[in-house]
Amino acid sequence: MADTKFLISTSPHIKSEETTARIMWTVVIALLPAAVAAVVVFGQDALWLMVTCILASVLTEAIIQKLRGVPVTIADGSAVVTGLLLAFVLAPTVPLYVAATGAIVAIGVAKHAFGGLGCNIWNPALIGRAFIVAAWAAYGVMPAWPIVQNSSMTEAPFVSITGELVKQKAWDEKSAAEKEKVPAVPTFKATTRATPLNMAQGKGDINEAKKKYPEVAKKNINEAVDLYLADLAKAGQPKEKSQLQGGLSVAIEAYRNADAPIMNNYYDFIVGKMPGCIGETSKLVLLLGGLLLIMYGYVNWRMPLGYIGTVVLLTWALPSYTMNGAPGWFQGNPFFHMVTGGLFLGAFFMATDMVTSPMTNKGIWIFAIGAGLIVALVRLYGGYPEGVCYSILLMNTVAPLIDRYTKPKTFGTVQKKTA
Amino acid sequence: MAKTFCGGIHPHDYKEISKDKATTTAPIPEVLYVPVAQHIGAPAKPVVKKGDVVKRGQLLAEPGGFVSASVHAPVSGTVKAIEPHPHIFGTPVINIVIDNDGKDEWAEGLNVERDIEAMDAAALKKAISDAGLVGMGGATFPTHVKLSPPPGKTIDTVILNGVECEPYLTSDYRLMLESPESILRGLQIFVKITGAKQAFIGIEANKPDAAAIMEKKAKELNINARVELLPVKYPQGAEKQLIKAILDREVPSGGLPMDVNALVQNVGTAHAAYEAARFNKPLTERIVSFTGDGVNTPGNYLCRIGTRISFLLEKFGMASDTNKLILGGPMMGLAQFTAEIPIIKGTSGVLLLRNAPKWEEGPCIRCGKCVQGCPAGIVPSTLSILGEQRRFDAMEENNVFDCIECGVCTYQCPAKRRIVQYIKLGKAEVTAIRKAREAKAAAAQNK
Repeated sequence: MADTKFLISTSPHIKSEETTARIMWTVVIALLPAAVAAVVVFGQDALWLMVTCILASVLTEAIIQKLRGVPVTIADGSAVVTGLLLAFVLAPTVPLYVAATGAIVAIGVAKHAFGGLGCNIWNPALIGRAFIVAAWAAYGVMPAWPIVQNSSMTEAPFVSITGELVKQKAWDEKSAAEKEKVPAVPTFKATTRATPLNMAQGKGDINEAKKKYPEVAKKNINEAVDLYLADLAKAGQPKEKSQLQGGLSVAIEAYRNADAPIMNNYYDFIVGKMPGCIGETSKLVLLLGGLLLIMYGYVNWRMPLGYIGTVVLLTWALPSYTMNGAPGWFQGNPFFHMVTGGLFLGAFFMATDMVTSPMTNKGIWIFAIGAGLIVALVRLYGGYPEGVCYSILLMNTVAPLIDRYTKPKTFGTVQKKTA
Repeated sequence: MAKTFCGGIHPHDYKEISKDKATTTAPIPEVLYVPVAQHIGAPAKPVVKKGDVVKRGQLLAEPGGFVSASVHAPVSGTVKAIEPHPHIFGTPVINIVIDNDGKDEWAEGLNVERDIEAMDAAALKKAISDAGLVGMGGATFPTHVKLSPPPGKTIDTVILNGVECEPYLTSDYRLMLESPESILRGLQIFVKITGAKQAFIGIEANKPDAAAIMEKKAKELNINARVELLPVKYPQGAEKQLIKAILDREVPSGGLPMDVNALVQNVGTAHAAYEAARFNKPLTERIVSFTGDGVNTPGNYLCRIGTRISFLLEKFGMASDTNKLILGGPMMGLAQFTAEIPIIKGTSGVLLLRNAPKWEEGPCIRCGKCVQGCPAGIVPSTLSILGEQRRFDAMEENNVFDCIECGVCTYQCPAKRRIVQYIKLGKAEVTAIRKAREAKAAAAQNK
């Protein structure tokens, strides 16, 4: 007894079961339902995309940590989370080498160049996506998203940003029997068409055409566009059809005319039968995973509520060129904005990234509302159809500043001290 | 709405190990080691020398300053040596080593009944000071100093701390069940000394039986004290958090409870104050919880001050794979490398843990759990990073001195960061920097 030596350490001498690895792997588990949904909706392309992104992320992390001479911590799951999230924000048509490059940039540049886990300013997965969008615009720019396979929507006509109107016409001219024989457009591996958000952003020339020839547009938008183009030519500002801004609203009208119920088919949006990135489409499974993380205390409920809430509120309240054409206050369709795009994925899994979000409840409210504001402004007035990725990256940038100004009130002080 | 403070956590309390074990008297060794530093403040100065024959309760060392406390002989016997020995603070401290003669005779005039009704505030305070009382919850601040607010400060409320929010510890709980009357009489003494208008007893809601007994006894004795059942939340028993919860008064940053006209005393101290005033008994024994999975016969034992823990562990039995010995609770207690240290006035518990892990530290992932849990309202994660980078000036700006070292942040940290350790380091370094700064300013003024 007398010569027994005990361990010395500072208090406390008991610690919770919580570990960084446990948090990360729980996030992976929470993402699994969405991963399964991605494979169900998009097929094996989605699976290979996820495998590639995760492998590239983990390998990059291991190699860089070896090179830096620091312990290799791939077992903590943080690289797996980054890889999986990156795959989730890519379209299934993205080639695997592009996805792998994105993962290398995510881990190598966004994470390790800043010092590794805990030191990064921006969400690595979103940096990976932003890099892909910048470097391979063809895969990144939204209008080239693929159509959903095996969904009711494959029966709808095919549209893309350039030259598609001709194909559209050709498709329309086919008989019902022919349409059944030819699945979408056979020359492409996957058929692509605008995501719902692209279509919702009806504005520019097409809207001008609609305003000018409302009666004609109601019957056939293409005729109205032709008339509008003729007017432009007469005024000495001739334009090609492919140069038209807001060409996508033509597509919307085309769907309308074809009685395709795309804009009203919320059921499809919720279960994920819609075009988009592989992990963002099924809102139900994302919600399931998100609730799991809230239950475990790994996600602060204020973030998704504040973020989605702000988007819903603003897209309803702000005047814009809505799908119904007419701009006006309090006429938006918030539910549409809530269930389309990457909002759910972003709100539950991206904005809530602990490293890159504020630490106090107040800070999280500011972050969430700020991100929601950016999304709403981008979607309603911006050049991109979708703003989730950049809204989070922008708020990541100011997160340290938010932390600085939302320090908790020190016990026993009257006023909060801002350093 | 339940009264509480901001932040806090709910660790498992492990009180089931020893809470139902009634207090029994621990064996007394043949040799006792009585340190002269058992309190915050200046060490006491020995007034005996080697070879002196002493009786129980006899003064061994007198206060070494205003913030200091006297030390008394826990048994009768002979002073064997006055020499440094291992101490709970880490560095060796002068111990007065006493050979126990086994007779356990009280010194003259001690352990006799006195009429406390006849004693005025000054006499009561002197009795407490003479008995060498210190805060028995573990902070060991000399009690008479707390009872002597400087001119201009008044105390209108006395709060007895029966919260015992540290996991494992049950000594205060047992005391409340077994000696409610002397605790309440002690409270009366504190009220009389301070002239307070109201008195509370704060007890955590996980001890409803203790609260019921205290309430019943207070009614019986016609003592005007309200029992407050507080939410089970660590650190509910921290002085400033307790005042906030019961009185909704916030002790100012850097201030003391007397700045908000409050006095907080541990229930054990109240008990000792009654013993000191009523029976003229100096503080020579206290209840200690021996608990944790490493002790074979856990329980609450009335131990003589100066009894070495190794002696008691030989009696109580210790599991062979016990690798951690903690004095106090697991959240704020001090880990010891050896059991060759004595029980002192502030030893509320001896906690033995088997196979306690060594945690690997990882980088902060900014999860914010420490910020949300911090009862002091500071940002522990930032302080830990600044401490790691040795940026002590920045730690000062980030209110490092407001930390109460409760351990909530470190308990919760998923990266297992040693936040409290960095903060303790920061406090020491910032103190040194401040001293250097003041010396420089003084030197500049002299020129």
